[in-house]
Amino acid sequence: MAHTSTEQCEMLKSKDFTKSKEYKSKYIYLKTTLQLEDDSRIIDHPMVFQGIINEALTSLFGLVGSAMPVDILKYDTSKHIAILRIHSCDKVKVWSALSLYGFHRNSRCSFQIHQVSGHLISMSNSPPLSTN
Amino acid sequence: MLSSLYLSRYLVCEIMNRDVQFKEKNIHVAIKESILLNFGDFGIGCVQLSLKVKYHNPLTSIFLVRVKRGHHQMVQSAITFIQQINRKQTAIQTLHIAGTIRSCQKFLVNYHKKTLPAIISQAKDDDTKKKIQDILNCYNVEGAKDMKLMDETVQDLVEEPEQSD
Repeated sequence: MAHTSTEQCEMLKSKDFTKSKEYKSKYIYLKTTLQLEDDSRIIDHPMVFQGIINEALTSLFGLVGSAMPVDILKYDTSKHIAILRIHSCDKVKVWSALSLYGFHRNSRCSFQIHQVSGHLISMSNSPPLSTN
Repeated sequence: MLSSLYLSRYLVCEIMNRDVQFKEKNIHVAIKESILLNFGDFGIGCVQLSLKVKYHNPLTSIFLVRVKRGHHQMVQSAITFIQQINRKQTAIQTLHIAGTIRSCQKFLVNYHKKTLPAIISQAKDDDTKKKIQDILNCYNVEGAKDMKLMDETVQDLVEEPEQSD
């Protein structure tokens, strides 16, 4: 259907862009570190990190919860910072599972989340906060 | 005012394994274990207070579970995932979900009406066949009012064909 330019302007004005669902991103990206109480145990391999995320999800949400796909896009082995990708519908559950994971193999641990964004490009420049 | 009402759902479930008879306690424990395995601490937290096995008939292997209203789907899928009760292999099927015990009873009356003709074909004596047909006629005319009455007749019928073997 061909609209005149005035009609198109009015259609755009009436549309509420703040609440429209078309503009929500499909994935959410998290920048995290896992901090352990005894610093001697350091996580070298991203697969170990993936296993810990899986453990956190299964303990809180069971087998059904562990089926939520969490991808590690990048793992920085020197600084131990991971960039995770989650579907935006799973955001609340995955984030709460990571926050509530307190013990890993008899030592205390915590997931520290430095940055959250709907777009991957925002992860590129900002430096992590000091972890002390 | 309405938010203070305790709304619940009742699941009518049948255990497909008829050889063994289970106890209410074992079924309750099996459902809790299934929720813990499949839905984790969050699942148990949602449902533990409101979960109760309200009624259990060991002979027909039908039981009734009460759950709080928002979480009945979670419990239904957890029940479907149950593989063992008391270390014996079973499978459970949910027949009906209702809001009150009375509507569950109405459903069960209709369900027994449909399954009793199948028992007729399995019964070997003519006497038991006559008995079943009499009961079916009685229920078609009036409609069963007492859950107890229905249960007693079904229990008798389930016991008798086994004795006649």
